[in-house]
Amino acid sequence: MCEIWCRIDPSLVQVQWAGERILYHPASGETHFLNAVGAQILDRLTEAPASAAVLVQCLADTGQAAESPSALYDQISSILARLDELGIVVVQMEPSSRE
Amino acid sequence: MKIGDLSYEGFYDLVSRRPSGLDLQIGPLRIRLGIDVAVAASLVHRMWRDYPVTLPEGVADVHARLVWGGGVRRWIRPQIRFLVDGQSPFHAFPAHHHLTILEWGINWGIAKRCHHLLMLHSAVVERDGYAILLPAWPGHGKSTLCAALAHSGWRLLSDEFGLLRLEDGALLPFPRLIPLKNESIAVIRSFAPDADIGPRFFRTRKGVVAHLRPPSQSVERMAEPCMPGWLVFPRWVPGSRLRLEPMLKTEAFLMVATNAFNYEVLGRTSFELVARLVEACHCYSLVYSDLAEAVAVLDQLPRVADG
Repeated sequence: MCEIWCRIDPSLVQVQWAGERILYHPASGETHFLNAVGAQILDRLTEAPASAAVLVQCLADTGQAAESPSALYDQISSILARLDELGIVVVQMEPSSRE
Repeated sequence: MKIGDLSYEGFYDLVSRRPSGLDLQIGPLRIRLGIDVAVAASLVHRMWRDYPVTLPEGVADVHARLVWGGGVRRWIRPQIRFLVDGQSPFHAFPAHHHLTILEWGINWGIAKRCHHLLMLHSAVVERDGYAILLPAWPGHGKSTLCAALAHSGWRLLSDEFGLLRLEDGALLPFPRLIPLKNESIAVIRSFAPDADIGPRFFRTRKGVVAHLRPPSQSVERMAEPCMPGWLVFPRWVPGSRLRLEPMLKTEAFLMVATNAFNYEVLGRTSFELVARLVEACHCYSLVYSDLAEAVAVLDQLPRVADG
Protein backbone atom coordinates (compact mmCIF):
# COMPACT_ATOMS: atom_id res chain seq x y z
CA MET A 1 0.00 0.00 0.00
CA CYS A 2 1.15 3.55 -0.59
CA GLU A 3 -0.09 6.89 0.68
CA ILE A 4 -1.83 9.12 -1.85
CA TRP A 5 -2.57 12.69 -0.87
CA CYS A 6 -5.73 14.44 -2.07
CA ARG A 7 -6.99 17.97 -1.68
CA ILE A 8 -10.37 17.61 -0.02
CA ASP A 9 -11.77 21.10 0.11
CA PRO A 10 -12.41 22.76 -3.26
CA SER A 11 -13.72 25.94 -1.68
CA LEU A 12 -10.38 27.41 -0.56
CA VAL A 13 -9.95 31.09 -1.34
CA GLN A 14 -6.38 32.08 -2.15
CA VAL A 15 -4.20 35.08 -2.84
CA GLN A 16 -0.57 34.89 -3.88
CA TRP A 17 2.34 37.29 -3.80
CA ALA A 18 5.90 36.40 -4.80
CA GLY A 19 5.08 32.71 -4.83
CA GLU A 20 3.81 32.70 -1.26
CA ARG A 21 0.17 32.02 -0.59
CA ILE A 22 -2.50 33.10 1.90
CA LEU A 23 -5.49 30.76 2.14
CA TYR A 24 -8.92 31.24 3.55
CA HIS A 25 -10.52 27.94 4.54
CA PRO A 26 -14.31 28.47 4.66
CA ALA A 27 -14.94 25.19 6.49
CA SER A 28 -12.91 26.28 9.50
CA GLY A 29 -13.04 30.05 9.06
CA GLU A 30 -9.26 30.09 9.44
CA THR A 31 -6.59 31.85 7.43
CA HIS A 32 -3.29 30.12 6.67
CA PHE A 33 0.07 30.96 5.15
CA LEU A 34 1.86 28.71 2.71
CA ASN A 35 5.44 29.21 1.62
CA ALA A 36 6.38 28.63 -2.00
CA VAL A 37 6.83 24.87 -1.51
CA GLY A 38 3.49 24.56 0.23
CA ALA A 39 1.82 26.53 -2.55
CA GLN A 40 3.27 24.22 -5.20
CA ILE A 41 2.11 21.17 -3.27
CA LEU A 42 -1.40 22.54 -3.10
CA ASP A 43 -1.40 23.36 -6.80
CA ARG A 44 -0.19 19.86 -7.69
CA LEU A 45 -2.83 18.22 -5.51
CA THR A 46 -5.48 20.44 -7.06
CA GLU A 47 -4.60 18.94 -10.44
CA ALA A 48 -4.67 15.35 -9.17
CA PRO A 49 -3.95 13.25 -6.07
CA ALA A 50 -0.30 12.32 -5.65
CA SER A 51 2.09 10.48 -3.36
CA ALA A 52 4.82 12.32 -1.47
CA ALA A 53 7.36 10.74 -3.80
CA VAL A 54 5.56 12.15 -6.82
CA LEU A 55 5.42 15.58 -5.16
CA VAL A 56 9.16 15.46 -4.50
CA GLN A 57 9.76 14.70 -8.15
CA CYS A 58 7.42 17.50 -9.26
CA LEU A 59 9.17 20.08 -7.13
CA ALA A 60 12.61 18.81 -8.11
CA ASP A 61 11.58 19.12 -11.76
CA THR A 62 10.73 22.78 -11.33
CA GLY A 63 14.33 23.41 -10.34
CA GLN A 64 13.19 25.69 -7.51
CA ALA A 65 13.89 23.24 -4.71
CA ALA A 66 17.32 23.94 -3.25
CA GLU A 67 17.28 21.01 -0.84
CA SER A 68 18.51 17.51 -1.43
CA PRO A 69 15.79 14.97 -2.34
CA SER A 70 15.74 13.60 1.20
CA ALA A 71 15.50 17.06 2.76
CA LEU A 72 12.79 17.99 0.27
CA TYR A 73 10.91 14.78 1.10
CA ASP A 74 11.05 15.68 4.81
CA GLN A 75 9.84 19.20 4.12
CA ILE A 76 6.99 18.00 1.92
CA SER A 77 5.97 15.38 4.48
CA SER A 78 5.90 18.03 7.16
CA ILE A 79 3.75 20.35 5.05
CA LEU A 80 1.38 17.53 4.11
CA ALA A 81 0.97 16.57 7.76
CA ARG A 82 0.15 20.16 8.61
CA LEU A 83 -2.33 20.49 5.74
CA ASP A 84 -3.91 17.24 6.91
CA GLU A 85 -4.32 18.66 10.43
CA LEU A 86 -5.97 21.73 8.95
CA GLY A 87 -8.47 19.68 6.95
CA ILE A 88 -7.16 20.87 3.60
CA VAL A 89 -5.76 17.54 2.36
CA VAL A 90 -6.32 13.93 3.31
CA VAL A 91 -4.27 10.81 2.81
CA GLN A 92 -5.68 7.65 1.26
CA MET A 93 -4.12 4.22 1.14
CA GLU A 94 -3.90 2.71 -2.31
CA PRO A 95 -2.34 -0.53 -3.51
CA SER A 96 1.18 0.05 -4.71
CA SER A 97 2.03 -0.96 -8.26
CA ARG A 98 4.07 -3.94 -7.00
CA GLU A 99 1.17 -5.46 -5.06
CA MET B 1 -24.99 71.74 15.95
CA LYS B 2 -21.63 70.93 17.51
CA ILE B 3 -20.93 70.25 21.15
CA GLY B 4 -18.91 73.45 21.23
CA ASP B 5 -21.95 75.45 20.13
CA LEU B 6 -23.61 74.59 23.44
CA SER B 7 -22.69 76.29 26.69
CA TYR B 8 -21.20 73.90 29.21
CA GLU B 9 -24.33 74.20 31.35
CA GLY B 10 -26.55 73.43 28.36
CA PHE B 11 -24.39 70.50 27.35
CA TYR B 12 -24.32 69.02 30.83
CA ASP B 13 -28.06 69.43 31.20
CA LEU B 14 -28.63 67.40 28.02
CA VAL B 15 -25.88 64.81 28.38
CA SER B 16 -26.82 63.97 31.96
CA ARG B 17 -30.48 63.37 31.12
CA ARG B 18 -31.77 59.84 31.61
CA PRO B 19 -32.15 57.53 29.94
CA SER B 20 -30.76 58.81 26.68
CA GLY B 21 -28.39 61.77 26.92
CA LEU B 22 -27.22 62.98 23.51
CA ASP B 23 -26.31 61.47 20.15
CA LEU B 24 -22.85 62.16 18.75
CA GLN B 25 -21.94 61.48 15.15
CA ILE B 26 -18.29 60.51 14.78
CA GLY B 27 -17.52 59.45 11.24
CA PRO B 28 -19.83 56.57 10.31
CA LEU B 29 -20.83 55.80 13.90
CA ARG B 30 -23.49 57.22 16.15
CA ILE B 31 -22.69 57.21 19.85
CA ARG B 32 -25.54 57.67 22.32
CA LEU B 33 -23.76 59.32 25.20
CA GLY B 34 -24.75 59.93 28.78
CA ILE B 35 -22.50 61.44 31.45
CA ASP B 36 -23.50 61.87 35.06
CA VAL B 37 -20.04 62.90 36.21
CA ALA B 38 -19.80 66.67 35.87
CA VAL B 39 -16.00 66.87 35.81
CA ALA B 40 -15.95 64.41 32.91
CA ALA B 41 -18.67 66.30 31.08
CA SER B 42 -16.66 69.50 31.43
CA LEU B 43 -13.62 67.95 29.78
CA VAL B 44 -15.73 66.26 27.09
CA HIS B 45 -17.33 69.64 26.36
CA ARG B 46 -13.87 71.04 25.68
CA MET B 47 -12.09 68.14 24.02
CA TRP B 48 -14.99 66.84 21.89
CA ARG B 49 -16.24 70.29 20.95
CA ASP B 50 -16.11 69.73 17.17
CA TYR B 51 -18.44 66.70 17.06
CA PRO B 52 -21.98 67.15 15.72
CA VAL B 53 -24.58 66.46 18.35
CA THR B 54 -28.35 65.93 18.31
CA LEU B 55 -31.07 64.85 20.65
CA PRO B 56 -31.38 61.05 20.63
CA GLU B 57 -33.15 59.67 17.60
CA GLY B 58 -33.17 56.40 15.67
CA VAL B 59 -30.66 53.64 16.25
CA ALA B 60 -27.24 54.27 17.77
CA ASP B 61 -24.21 52.03 17.26
CA VAL B 62 -23.06 52.26 20.87
CA HIS B 63 -24.97 53.33 23.99
CA ALA B 64 -22.40 54.59 26.49
CA ARG B 65 -22.89 56.16 29.88
CA LEU B 66 -20.47 57.23 32.58
CA VAL B 67 -22.02 57.10 36.06
CA TRP B 68 -20.90 57.40 39.64
CA GLY B 69 -20.11 54.23 41.57
CA GLY B 70 -22.65 53.35 44.22
CA GLY B 71 -22.69 53.54 47.97
CA VAL B 72 -20.06 55.14 50.10
CA ARG B 73 -17.62 55.19 47.17
CA ARG B 74 -19.58 58.16 45.89
CA TRP B 75 -17.68 60.22 48.48
CA ILE B 76 -14.70 58.23 49.78
CA ARG B 77 -12.13 57.54 47.04
CA PRO B 78 -14.94 57.99 44.53
CA GLN B 79 -15.45 55.55 41.71
CA ILE B 80 -17.19 55.58 38.37
CA ARG B 81 -18.72 52.90 36.18
CA PHE B 82 -18.95 52.63 32.43
CA LEU B 83 -22.29 51.36 31.17
CA VAL B 84 -22.99 49.82 27.77
CA ASP B 85 -26.68 49.46 26.93
CA GLY B 86 -27.41 50.14 30.57
CA GLN B 87 -25.29 47.20 31.72
CA SER B 88 -22.00 47.44 33.60
CA PRO B 89 -19.66 44.79 32.18
CA PHE B 90 -16.61 46.08 34.08
CA HIS B 91 -15.62 46.72 37.65
CA ALA B 92 -15.61 50.29 38.93
CA PHE B 93 -12.73 52.62 38.15
CA PRO B 94 -11.17 55.51 40.06
CA ALA B 95 -13.28 58.56 39.34
CA HIS B 96 -10.28 60.71 38.49
CA HIS B 97 -9.65 58.51 35.40
CA HIS B 98 -12.99 59.59 33.92
CA LEU B 99 -12.02 60.60 30.35
CA THR B 100 -9.63 57.67 29.87
CA ILE B 101 -12.42 55.28 30.92
CA LEU B 102 -14.98 56.94 28.69
CA GLU B 103 -12.68 56.79 25.66
CA TRP B 104 -11.61 53.22 26.37
CA GLY B 105 -15.18 52.08 27.08
CA ILE B 106 -16.48 53.52 23.82
CA ASN B 107 -13.65 51.79 21.95
CA TRP B 108 -14.61 48.55 23.66
CA GLY B 109 -18.25 48.98 22.66
CA ILE B 110 -17.32 49.70 19.06
CA ALA B 111 -14.97 46.73 18.85
CA LYS B 112 -17.71 44.44 20.18
CA ARG B 113 -20.62 45.80 18.15
CA CYS B 114 -19.75 47.43 14.86
CA HIS B 115 -19.37 44.41 12.62
CA HIS B 116 -20.84 46.19 9.63
CA LEU B 117 -17.25 47.43 9.18
CA LEU B 118 -13.92 45.64 9.18
CA MET B 119 -12.06 47.17 12.11
CA LEU B 120 -8.29 47.11 11.86
CA HIS B 121 -6.17 48.03 14.84
CA SER B 122 -4.39 50.82 13.07
CA ALA B 123 -3.82 54.52 12.96
CA VAL B 124 -4.77 56.11 9.66
CA VAL B 125 -3.78 59.45 8.14
CA GLU B 126 -4.50 60.78 4.65
CA ARG B 127 -3.12 63.21 2.14
CA ASP B 128 -4.21 63.85 -1.45
CA GLY B 129 -6.88 61.19 -1.26
CA TYR B 130 -4.69 58.27 -0.16
CA ALA B 131 -4.06 56.98 3.31
CA ILE B 132 -1.18 55.57 5.26
CA LEU B 133 -2.28 52.84 7.62
CA LEU B 134 -0.05 52.39 10.65
CA PRO B 135 -0.93 49.05 12.29
CA ALA B 136 1.09 48.37 15.40
CA TRP B 137 1.10 46.60 18.71
CA PRO B 138 0.99 48.63 21.94
CA GLY B 139 4.26 50.34 22.72
CA HIS B 140 5.41 50.52 19.10
CA GLY B 141 4.93 54.28 18.83
CA LYS B 142 1.78 54.27 16.71
CA SER B 143 -0.07 57.02 18.59
CA THR B 144 2.96 59.27 18.83
CA LEU B 145 3.70 58.95 15.13
CA CYS B 146 0.04 59.41 14.24
CA ALA B 147 -0.18 62.56 16.37
CA ALA B 148 2.93 63.98 14.73
CA LEU B 149 1.60 63.28 11.23
CA ALA B 150 -1.77 64.82 12.12
CA HIS B 151 0.14 68.02 12.89
CA SER B 152 2.34 67.83 9.78
CA GLY B 153 -0.15 68.24 6.97
CA TRP B 154 -1.76 64.79 7.09
CA ARG B 155 -5.49 64.45 7.82
CA LEU B 156 -6.24 62.31 10.86
CA LEU B 157 -8.72 59.53 10.18
CA SER B 158 -8.09 57.59 13.36
CA ASP B 159 -5.49 56.74 15.94
CA GLU B 160 -7.00 53.37 16.83
CA PHE B 161 -9.53 52.08 14.29
CA GLY B 162 -8.82 51.56 10.62
CA LEU B 163 -12.44 51.26 9.53
CA LEU B 164 -12.86 49.53 6.17
CA ARG B 165 -16.21 49.77 4.40
CA LEU B 166 -17.26 46.28 3.36
CA GLU B 167 -18.71 47.34 0.02
CA ASP B 168 -15.62 48.89 -1.52
CA GLY B 169 -12.73 48.77 0.96
CA ALA B 170 -12.72 52.53 1.46
CA LEU B 171 -11.32 53.84 4.73
CA LEU B 172 -13.84 55.72 6.85
CA PRO B 173 -12.64 58.52 9.15
CA PHE B 174 -13.18 58.12 12.87
CA PRO B 175 -11.22 61.01 14.37
CA ARG B 176 -11.07 60.68 18.14
CA LEU B 177 -8.83 61.92 20.89
CA ILE B 178 -5.33 60.46 20.67
CA PRO B 179 -4.22 59.07 24.05
CA LEU B 180 -0.57 60.01 24.48
CA LYS B 181 1.26 57.97 27.06
CA ASN B 182 4.15 58.81 29.36
CA GLU B 183 7.14 60.31 27.47
CA SER B 184 5.03 60.80 24.34
CA ILE B 185 3.19 63.67 25.99
CA ALA B 186 6.29 65.84 26.18
CA VAL B 187 7.47 64.63 22.77
CA ILE B 188 4.29 65.86 21.09
CA ARG B 189 4.21 69.09 23.12
CA SER B 190 7.68 69.78 21.74
CA PHE B 191 6.93 68.58 18.19
CA ALA B 192 3.64 70.46 17.85
CA PRO B 193 3.47 73.34 20.35
CA ASP B 194 0.03 74.37 19.04
CA ALA B 195 -1.48 70.94 19.67
CA ASP B 196 -4.38 70.94 22.12
CA ILE B 197 -3.48 68.40 24.80
CA GLY B 198 -5.79 67.85 27.74
CA PRO B 199 -4.89 67.25 31.38
CA ARG B 200 -2.71 64.35 32.45
CA PHE B 201 -4.26 61.29 34.07
CA PHE B 202 -1.90 59.56 36.46
CA ARG B 203 -1.58 55.89 37.41
CA THR B 204 -3.78 54.53 34.66
CA ARG B 205 -3.20 51.02 33.33
CA LYS B 206 -0.88 52.56 30.74
CA GLY B 207 0.86 54.98 33.05
CA VAL B 208 0.39 58.72 32.57
CA VAL B 209 -2.09 59.50 29.78
CA ALA B 210 -3.03 62.84 28.21
CA HIS B 211 -5.37 63.20 25.26
CA LEU B 212 -4.58 65.10 22.10
CA ARG B 213 -7.64 66.74 20.53
CA PRO B 214 -7.97 65.86 16.83
CA PRO B 215 -7.39 68.84 14.56
CA SER B 216 -10.74 70.54 13.86
CA GLN B 217 -10.27 70.11 10.12
CA SER B 218 -10.06 66.34 10.55
CA VAL B 219 -13.40 66.34 12.34
CA GLU B 220 -15.00 68.68 9.80
CA ARG B 221 -13.97 66.28 7.01
CA MET B 222 -14.96 63.08 8.81
CA ALA B 223 -17.63 62.27 6.21
CA GLU B 224 -14.95 62.03 3.49
CA PRO B 225 -13.62 58.48 2.99
CA CYS B 226 -10.38 57.78 1.19
CA MET B 227 -8.55 54.89 -0.38
CA PRO B 228 -5.57 53.03 1.14
CA GLY B 229 -2.15 53.82 -0.32
CA TRP B 230 0.46 52.52 2.11
CA LEU B 231 0.75 50.04 4.92
CA VAL B 232 3.56 51.04 7.25
CA PHE B 233 4.28 48.97 10.35
CA PRO B 234 6.06 51.30 12.76
CA ARG B 235 8.25 50.35 15.67
CA TRP B 236 9.87 52.88 17.94
CA VAL B 237 13.27 51.66 19.11
CA PRO B 238 15.24 54.06 21.32
CA GLY B 239 18.51 55.12 19.73
CA SER B 240 17.84 53.26 16.49
CA ARG B 241 18.77 54.47 13.03
CA LEU B 242 15.79 55.26 10.78
CA ARG B 243 14.93 52.26 8.59
CA LEU B 244 12.07 52.17 6.09
CA GLU B 245 12.16 48.81 4.33
CA PRO B 246 9.78 47.14 1.88
CA MET B 247 7.82 44.29 3.39
CA LEU B 248 6.51 41.12 1.78
CA LYS B 249 2.79 41.40 1.12
CA THR B 250 2.11 38.00 2.65
CA GLU B 251 3.73 39.18 5.87
CA ALA B 252 1.76 42.42 5.74
CA PHE B 253 -1.47 40.44 5.25
CA LEU B 254 -0.86 38.28 8.29
CA MET B 255 0.09 41.23 10.47
CA VAL B 256 -3.02 43.19 9.47
CA ALA B 257 -5.32 40.20 9.91
CA THR B 258 -3.96 39.15 13.28
CA ASN B 259 -4.11 42.74 14.49
CA ALA B 260 -7.75 43.38 13.53
CA PHE B 261 -10.61 43.61 16.00
CA ASN B 262 -13.15 41.53 14.08
CA TYR B 263 -11.30 39.65 11.33
CA GLU B 264 -12.67 36.28 12.47
CA VAL B 265 -16.20 37.60 12.86
CA LEU B 266 -16.52 38.60 9.21
CA GLY B 267 -14.91 35.45 7.80
CA ARG B 268 -14.40 35.42 4.04
CA THR B 269 -15.41 39.07 3.75
CA SER B 270 -12.46 39.99 5.98
CA PHE B 271 -10.08 37.84 3.96
CA GLU B 272 -11.13 39.45 0.70
CA LEU B 273 -11.01 42.98 2.12
CA VAL B 274 -7.55 42.51 3.61
CA ALA B 275 -6.35 40.94 0.36
CA ARG B 276 -7.67 43.93 -1.54
CA LEU B 277 -6.09 46.33 0.93
CA VAL B 278 -2.68 44.68 0.79
CA GLU B 279 -2.80 44.45 -2.99
CA ALA B 280 -3.55 48.17 -3.22
CA CYS B 281 -0.84 49.25 -0.79
CA HIS B 282 2.90 49.67 -0.85
CA CYS B 283 4.01 47.82 2.31
CA TYR B 284 6.87 48.86 4.56
CA SER B 285 8.29 48.32 8.00
CA LEU B 286 9.53 51.43 9.76
CA VAL B 287 11.97 51.49 12.67
CA TYR B 288 12.53 54.91 14.16
CA SER B 289 13.70 56.76 17.22
CA ASP B 290 13.57 60.36 15.97
CA LEU B 291 10.00 61.50 15.36
CA ALA B 292 10.89 64.30 12.91
CA GLU B 293 12.94 61.87 10.81
CA ALA B 294 10.05 59.41 10.72
CA VAL B 295 7.58 62.09 9.63
CA ALA B 296 10.00 63.30 6.95
CA VAL B 297 10.44 59.85 5.44
CA LEU B 298 6.68 59.25 5.41
CA ASP B 299 6.22 62.62 3.73
CA GLN B 300 8.32 61.24 0.90
CA LEU B 301 6.17 58.15 0.38
CA PRO B 302 3.86 59.57 -2.30
CA ARG B 303 6.87 60.51 -4.38
CA VAL B 304 8.48 57.13 -3.79
CA ALA B 305 5.30 55.41 -4.94
CA ASP B 306 4.94 57.65 -7.99
CA GLY B 307 8.54 56.97 -8.92
